[in-house]
Amino acid sequence: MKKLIILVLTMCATTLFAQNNIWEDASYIAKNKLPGRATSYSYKSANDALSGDREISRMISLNGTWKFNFVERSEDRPLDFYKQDVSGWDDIEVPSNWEMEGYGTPIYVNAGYPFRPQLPAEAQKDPIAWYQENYDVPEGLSRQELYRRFYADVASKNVPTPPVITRENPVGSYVRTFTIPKDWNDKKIILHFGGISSAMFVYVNEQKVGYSQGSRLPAEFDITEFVKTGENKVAVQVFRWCDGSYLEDQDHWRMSGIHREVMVMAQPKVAIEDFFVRTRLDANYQDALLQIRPTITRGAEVDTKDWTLEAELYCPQNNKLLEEPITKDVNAIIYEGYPQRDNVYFGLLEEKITSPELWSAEKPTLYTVVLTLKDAEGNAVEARSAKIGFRKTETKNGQLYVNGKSIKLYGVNRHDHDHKRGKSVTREDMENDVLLMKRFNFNAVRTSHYPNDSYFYDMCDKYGVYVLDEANIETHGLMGYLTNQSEWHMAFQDRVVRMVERDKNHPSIIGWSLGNESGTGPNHAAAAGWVRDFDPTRFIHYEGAQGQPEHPDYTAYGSEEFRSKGRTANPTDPYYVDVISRMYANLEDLEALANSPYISRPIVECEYAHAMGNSLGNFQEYWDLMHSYPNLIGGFIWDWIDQGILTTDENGKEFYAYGGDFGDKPNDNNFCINGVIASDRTPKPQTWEAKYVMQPVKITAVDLEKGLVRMLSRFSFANLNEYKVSWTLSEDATQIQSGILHGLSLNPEASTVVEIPFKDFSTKANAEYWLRISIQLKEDKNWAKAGHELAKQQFKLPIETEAPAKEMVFDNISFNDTEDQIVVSGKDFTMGIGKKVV
Amino acid sequence: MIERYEKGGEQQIISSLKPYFWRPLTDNDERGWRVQQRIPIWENLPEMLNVTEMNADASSGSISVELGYQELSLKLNYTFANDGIVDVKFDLSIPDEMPEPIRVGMNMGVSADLQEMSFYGKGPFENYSDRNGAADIDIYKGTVDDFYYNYTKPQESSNHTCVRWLALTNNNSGLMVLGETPLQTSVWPYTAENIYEAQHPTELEKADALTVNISHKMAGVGGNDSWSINARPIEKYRLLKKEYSYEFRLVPLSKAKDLQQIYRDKK
Repeated sequence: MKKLIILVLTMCATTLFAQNNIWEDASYIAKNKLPGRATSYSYKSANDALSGDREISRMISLNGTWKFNFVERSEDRPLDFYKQDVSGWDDIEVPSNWEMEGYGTPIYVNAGYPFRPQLPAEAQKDPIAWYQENYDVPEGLSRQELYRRFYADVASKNVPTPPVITRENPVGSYVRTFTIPKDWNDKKIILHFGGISSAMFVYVNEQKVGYSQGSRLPAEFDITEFVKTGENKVAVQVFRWCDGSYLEDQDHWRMSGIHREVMVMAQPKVAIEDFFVRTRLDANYQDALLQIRPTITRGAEVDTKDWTLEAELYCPQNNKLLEEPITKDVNAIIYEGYPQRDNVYFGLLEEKITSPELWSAEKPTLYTVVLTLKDAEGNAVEARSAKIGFRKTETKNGQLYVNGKSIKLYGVNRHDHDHKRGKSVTREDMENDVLLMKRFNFNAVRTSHYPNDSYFYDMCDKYGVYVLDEANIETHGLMGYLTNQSEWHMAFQDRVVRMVERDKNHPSIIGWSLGNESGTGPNHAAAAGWVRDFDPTRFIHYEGAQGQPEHPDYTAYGSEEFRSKGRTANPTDPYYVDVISRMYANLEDLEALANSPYISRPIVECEYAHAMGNSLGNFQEYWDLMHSYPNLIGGFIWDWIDQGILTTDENGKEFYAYGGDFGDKPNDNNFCINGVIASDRTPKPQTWEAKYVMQPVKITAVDLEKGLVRMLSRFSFANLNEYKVSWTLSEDATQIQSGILHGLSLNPEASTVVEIPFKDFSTKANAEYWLRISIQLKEDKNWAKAGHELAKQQFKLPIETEAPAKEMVFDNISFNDTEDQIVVSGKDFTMGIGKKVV
Repeated sequence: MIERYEKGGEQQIISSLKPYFWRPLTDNDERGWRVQQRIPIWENLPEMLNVTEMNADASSGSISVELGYQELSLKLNYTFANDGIVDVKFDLSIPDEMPEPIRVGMNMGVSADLQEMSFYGKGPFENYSDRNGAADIDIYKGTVDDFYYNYTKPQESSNHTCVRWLALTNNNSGLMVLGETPLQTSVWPYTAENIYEAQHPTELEKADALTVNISHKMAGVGGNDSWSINARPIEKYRLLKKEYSYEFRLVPLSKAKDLQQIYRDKK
């Protein structure tokens, strides 16, 4: 009897654990994963660190060829592969998405988990018709009632049940070797993964190292105890889906694998583990306080008495800016006491900087901070660096300010996409995207809907693009359910905290976004709370944060009363966001928001101008509206690039595939083809319109006969005299005069009437005369060459040249009436005018 | 309807010049404001028109045709001149109860040999009434394919607004279209049906005829979303008027000519 009971209990336990895989457990998000930290590299000297060339830092890239095994079902995955001979396995390039390398199926789905249970195939075309046919549905139901019943009877059964994955779960297993150099034997060694989708187990030299999920942020493991000098082996097993996939229901290609870079990094046992740089500008946006808060880690065996940390600041030309480095005793950092009340002072290292050049998207001046850790003898143990920008962002008066100037966000939503590589983008792709954004007058990007590779932010820092950095949280398929489930709190927080920790030093990032389309609830509010305290220098954005139930004029979302009020705020949004964010509000709704007496925060369209197919109409009207209300701070077009995948059809012809083309189910067809630029990063007709509407100088007619036009500067920081202003005068398509307006001074945000000095000219009968004004780069910038056109306007001159038309000559035209046509005959021609429309 | 058009023994058109109120629906049209459900009448309206009256007047060298469908009326007037030049006048009256069309215009098929394309209008890239700020008015020259924009999922494309004239030629022979007022034109190497049905450009097949759209007006493409009534162009870019009139001229080209001079002479 006793035996039987034990057996029953064992069976229960087995059943319980069988349903509770680590990758299907919301509370199990990592094992042995190091905390998030700012991107930086460990260099041997301050000079090396100043160069910023990570190739000379203590790192070894593990990009390249790995051994690879793929199974469609997690049940079939090799269990002891990290101990076995894998020489017979396939080769795969890392980083990559395995779906783009011939394993498994890429899936494009907008919203709704790809691993949700599916309706039967015959129901998928028209689920409601199928429902009416196969269920006992009363006649004459309203559409609303019909959907309600469909949901209750059918659809709710297809809602997936977190954290369980209800679909076959493909698994990829990766193995490679790498060599640890001799001079790393006294170092701490870290294995770094830039991004894997969606969960992985990591093994080094046949030992378990750790586990990670969260597909768009680095995972780092301390492998010091696992490695030896010489050859080592790393093995990784990646699961396509995990409980974390419930937080990754974004509208894009769903792909898997080690899709970002992999490297091994070394740092001394005492090292600058992390640092946070703030630049506090004074009330006049003139002088700045440079504040640095480093984190030093120390191996227990090292005595750091008399060690120092030095900070140097280098100007854009790499000249030292400080007379003396800012120096701090290392033990004062390591043994910093945290008070019982209040908090530690942020600026562990601090210095006033007089009149630094400020960073903005228009003028992205970067300085370099170099931190050098020195031992008691003054020898450099380690140096690290970061590009920083002096700038201040504020949300006040219902507006967004950068360095004291109210700015608009000419933004776009960007997904990682490459037409050959899928989600695994190269550094070249990232740089090209930022260059193209600059060239087409975008000044802002939202990293929809997850943190990008940190190189992308380097590019935004360098070329000048404001970034709304978004956490990798979207629970679209379950709407706002998970943010209200406390067992998911840690997973939410982890994704936001790690993003902010990694990206905190980038001047381009002006706001943190808590994710996308996941409702609102305490898990979001908690994440916002952490961010607000950790980084009070940037605004918090989250579009899902809508409705303020404690407000007297609140009406429940979705109620009749709510609907009757139209699509405005309810009546404003939760306290924990700093901007009122909306998606796809049309012109009327946007204007209603702008005029709402309840809204005092700036209003942004985090998605608008859905650029699917032949679209982007009335973009001018959007911006006319944005410019007429100070509290409309701009928006982000949906979206940047057509997510077409270059594919070859059965005849060998290339085309761009979209959802469903790979037999992927479920799919949302061509709903991933919404780019302002084409899949191959070439401009589309829409791209030019976006550029024109967002151009930094608006030129309007005043008195064209006299050549008078008004120029309105939409620059926030630049004077027009920094650019070349030229004009041409054309007779139809032939240029007859041209000139340059030298030294035309116009302050930011100012306007002036300018005379275009064209000379009198003789006119031709029935010709048209066109004045075209062009504003171009005077000299090369890092993002475009001299001559690049930023703004332009064409005007038709009001010159009356109309002369009588040449008479139409006709003779000998005859008509012949036949059954179907009247046949017209004339000199050398015949026509038939039909009696029917065919 | 001009069904046959011979000049110097050469056929100028392959399929007839007839009214056209439709377009291969865009994503915004089809998924968004659901043109196919909201205003389907306009797709097949040309075929439903009956000729109610037709008069030829030798003294003015013109033919007038009256067409109707229920309360809708369309008057077409053709005036002929030497060298095969014809002026086409189009007067449309839409009854109040009928919904708006998405295009008011005509189209025809011309020989696919006429691969040289030039026009005086907004370009070089395609543009629409609600998306034509970036395009400058100029004379643009190229091949038909140069001016055809392939959407990843084929749909209405390649339109130009403010077009004074459009010429399609092969070794300087061909056909020129001139607007009395600026036109909207596009030239498709594929049929409208093929463009609408194809899921990818690889499914587009070069047709025997180039489809030449000579439009008076076309609804904007919209730019808000692609899944609701908000996908519809904003009011000022819809065709909400009930009366539309426009006029254009067809000029056969048989040898090298200064197209711009033809245009100036016409005005």
